[in-house]
Amino acid sequence: MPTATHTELKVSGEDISLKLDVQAIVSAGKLEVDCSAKAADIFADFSGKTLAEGSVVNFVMQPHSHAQIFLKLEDSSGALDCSFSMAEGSEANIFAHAENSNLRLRFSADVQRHATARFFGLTQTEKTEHTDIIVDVHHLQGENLTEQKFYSFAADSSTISFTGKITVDSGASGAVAHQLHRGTALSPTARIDAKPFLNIRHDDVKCTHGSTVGFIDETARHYLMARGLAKDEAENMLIRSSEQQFYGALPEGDAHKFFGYEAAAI
Amino acid sequence: MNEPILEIRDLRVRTGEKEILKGINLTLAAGEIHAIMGPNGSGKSTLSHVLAGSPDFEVTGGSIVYRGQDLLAMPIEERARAGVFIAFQYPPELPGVNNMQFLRTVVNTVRKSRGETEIAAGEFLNKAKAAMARLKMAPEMIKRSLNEGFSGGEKKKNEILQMTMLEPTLMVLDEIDSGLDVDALELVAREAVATMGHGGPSVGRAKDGVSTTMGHGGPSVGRATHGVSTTMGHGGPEVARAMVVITHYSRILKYIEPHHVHVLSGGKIIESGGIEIVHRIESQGYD
Repeated sequence: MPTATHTELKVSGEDISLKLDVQAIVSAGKLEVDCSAKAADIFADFSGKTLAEGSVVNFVMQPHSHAQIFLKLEDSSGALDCSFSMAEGSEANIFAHAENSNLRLRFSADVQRHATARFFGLTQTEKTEHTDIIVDVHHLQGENLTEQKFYSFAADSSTISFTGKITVDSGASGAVAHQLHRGTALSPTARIDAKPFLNIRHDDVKCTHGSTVGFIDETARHYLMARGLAKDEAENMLIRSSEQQFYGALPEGDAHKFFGYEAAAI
Repeated sequence: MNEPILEIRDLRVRTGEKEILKGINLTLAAGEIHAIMGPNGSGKSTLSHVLAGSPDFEVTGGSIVYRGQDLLAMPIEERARAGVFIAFQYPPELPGVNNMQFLRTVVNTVRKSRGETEIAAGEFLNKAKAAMARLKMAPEMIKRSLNEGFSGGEKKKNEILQMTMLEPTLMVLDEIDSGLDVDALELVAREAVATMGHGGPSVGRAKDGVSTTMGHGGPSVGRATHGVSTTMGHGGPEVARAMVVITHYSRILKYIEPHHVHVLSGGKIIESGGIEIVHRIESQGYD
């Protein structure tokens, strides 16, 4: 897999797989990606990095381009903005896993007609860590799709804040926007805040949002324990089941390896 | 009477300020099937919740002894590992928990607690597939998330699948018949009876004085049928089992014929007897 080291990057062709030089992004504080590829997998591992305030990665998705972007942020800190300009007919699927990090991670997308932007996130914090996740999608036109699916787990005295925004402009007929956030506090002193914002300026659209924040589901835990699992085993199984919602959306192959995910075999 | 598997003495239970069970006495001997019937709100399901160790209920008096052990002192998971299986009235949906992996995990957890080795993947799959075929469960059910999107009947079949795979000693079926159509009810009843050791896949059990030897691959089951001891199954150590069927209705008891029938009302067992109680309730109701 080649490594891209520029602050401006053009991605074209088919079946492209490349790894971003995150150190270059950390140093320059900026990367502009111009994607016209029919199918591109783009990997960026920010683990262990400190990102300066104002660090940005801007993706310009050209008409009918398709990309999958995989972001890993373990033991990372600082702030990162990822913006997506989604031209007509373009598609981007973004997967972000933030773990043990003190971060402000912001995703935004301006979405044109027949474009699709999907954001999947798994955030795990512990000790006194704090991570902010902000997702801001803007349907500039109609007949397009955005999805946000984020799963948060806060242990110890850590905190996670999820802010999900959906804006649908006037005249954007046929826009479809879904937002889902599931937050689980793993200790009484952990905290998760969820703030959904919907700004719908047109009638002929389909928008859904759902958010739950709570502790481990006691009914589910009791059921698993009534089958012989110890409390910690039951809780781990329930946590893994929510993580599975994220990993299950990943394409198989390199993405699984990148996130260190191994599908359990029977 | 054979060695008791379960002895409940003067059990009193409440939730919040409300007393639900007001002195329950019940003894299950090895090989016995007991039916507990009663109208809504009589406390039937509370009993199963207490046996399962639900934290929603407080035991304020009495005792439950399971195979010589104080059940109420046992943690929830230890009860399951010791062979107590509660088929839940409302099994929860657990998205992301793969049904097959969950089942194998709990089977191996229980086996480990018994000092047995883990079940081989091939053996596990063959056994699960065979049980699913008997229950007429679609093969893909085992690959899906646990109970997620299952119909009411599918959830109940999945409970019975778990029961078959876990080979428990005490089986408590809490309104297993709710949500089941007539055909599914018979399949579930057949499997429950087979797990009990009462005649393999065929429904029914040996009557007084009749000895049978059947089974479908599980450990052998020693039982007594109205005082007649029979040994069913093949291979493995003999396991004595007992079953409690909690239900509103008589229809499941056509397939799982109980040795003893109890009527629970107002938190107390107000009547105990044989199958004639079922027939009377069928014709006259609880009033």
